[in-house]
Amino acid sequence: MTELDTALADPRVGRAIELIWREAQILDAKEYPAWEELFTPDAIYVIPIDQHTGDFEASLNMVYDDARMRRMRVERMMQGYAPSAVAAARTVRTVSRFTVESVSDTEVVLRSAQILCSYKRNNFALLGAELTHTIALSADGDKIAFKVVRLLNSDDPVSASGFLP
Amino acid sequence: MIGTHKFRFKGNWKIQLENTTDGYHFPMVHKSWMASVDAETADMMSFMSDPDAVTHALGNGHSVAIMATAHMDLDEDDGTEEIQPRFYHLVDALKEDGYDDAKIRRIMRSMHGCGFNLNTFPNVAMSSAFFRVLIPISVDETEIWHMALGMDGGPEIVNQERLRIHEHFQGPFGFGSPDDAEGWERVQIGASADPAMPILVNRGLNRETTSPEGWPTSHVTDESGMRDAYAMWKRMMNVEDQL
Repeated sequence: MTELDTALADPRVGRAIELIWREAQILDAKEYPAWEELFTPDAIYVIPIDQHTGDFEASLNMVYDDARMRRMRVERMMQGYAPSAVAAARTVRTVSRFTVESVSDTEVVLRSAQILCSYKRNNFALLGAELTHTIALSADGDKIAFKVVRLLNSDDPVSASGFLP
Repeated sequence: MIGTHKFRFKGNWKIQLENTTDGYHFPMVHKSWMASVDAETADMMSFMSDPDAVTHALGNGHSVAIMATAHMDLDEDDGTEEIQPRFYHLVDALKEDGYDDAKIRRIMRSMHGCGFNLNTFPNVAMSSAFFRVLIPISVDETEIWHMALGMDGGPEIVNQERLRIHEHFQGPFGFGSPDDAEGWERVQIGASADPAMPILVNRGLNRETTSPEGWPTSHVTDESGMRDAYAMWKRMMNVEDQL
């Protein structure tokens, strides 16, 4: 096995990582309409409470967004009516420690670690999370088909913060 | 109990104590949530201009704030309320499962909760379709639990829709709770500016009446509930003076 044969050197995986990093930058910049465009129409974005569940539909989550909820969430973040969004914390995040769950010509599933630092009213806060992205590969542009954000403190208090992890 | 959201805000617990008996914050603080729900749901929250929407101070700090009078009692149904079109797929699924029309109507009407907030002093409220528990962490930090309610043994498909409705408003990434929390933190900051400044809770004092049960009663946007809670708190904090 040569160096270039590693899973992370697979160009399909490289495309997926590039999209995930672009998403991270867009979320830090709070460019939510651009963020919405990153998803496939049937994509789900979920922030579960239960640390282990895979049955998100039957569980209470912090976020369980299909296209309809995502549309409304983006509208809410942008329209200026929500004081928490208007006064949202500034954020900067790094996504790394990628591992490849599966890869094909049409789909890549990646797990990663996210360290998100937020700042508001003289307070820094740290939010760690395990991410799982399912990226749909297409000649028309790669999209996020599924995103799960497992916050380290998901089953303990999570402070309302005006940004998206 | 089908799930619990937990979050904290940097403020005194009494700021939150006011929330479930505070009708007037809703159209301003929750304008973004109002904009995202269908017209029927928004209509249910039209208590600002509904003279039948009242608050009763029940004594010992307890109160009930009635927002949606048509949802006070599930057994009382004048048949005028229409099921929202976006829930028709649930109606169809329940029909297929053999539920009769009356039962389906009852299940669907219950989805948005009981139409009132029952505030039990000092720290538990039943608000619409969930329980809210306040846990003071320190003088300027409070933890809140929002516990979603479902139907024990009821159809799973409807309980799942109740989870989605709860997620829509509640929790750290809901369309409602973060805006509440932002407001409470600003109140805490503002209150620190002059700790000796009196807090006014006199809204509706001029139009407060006594109900047949003997409860001080005013409009749901008035502060009868808050007055009762603060009076009880002062009574408890001054207990040594009474000995």
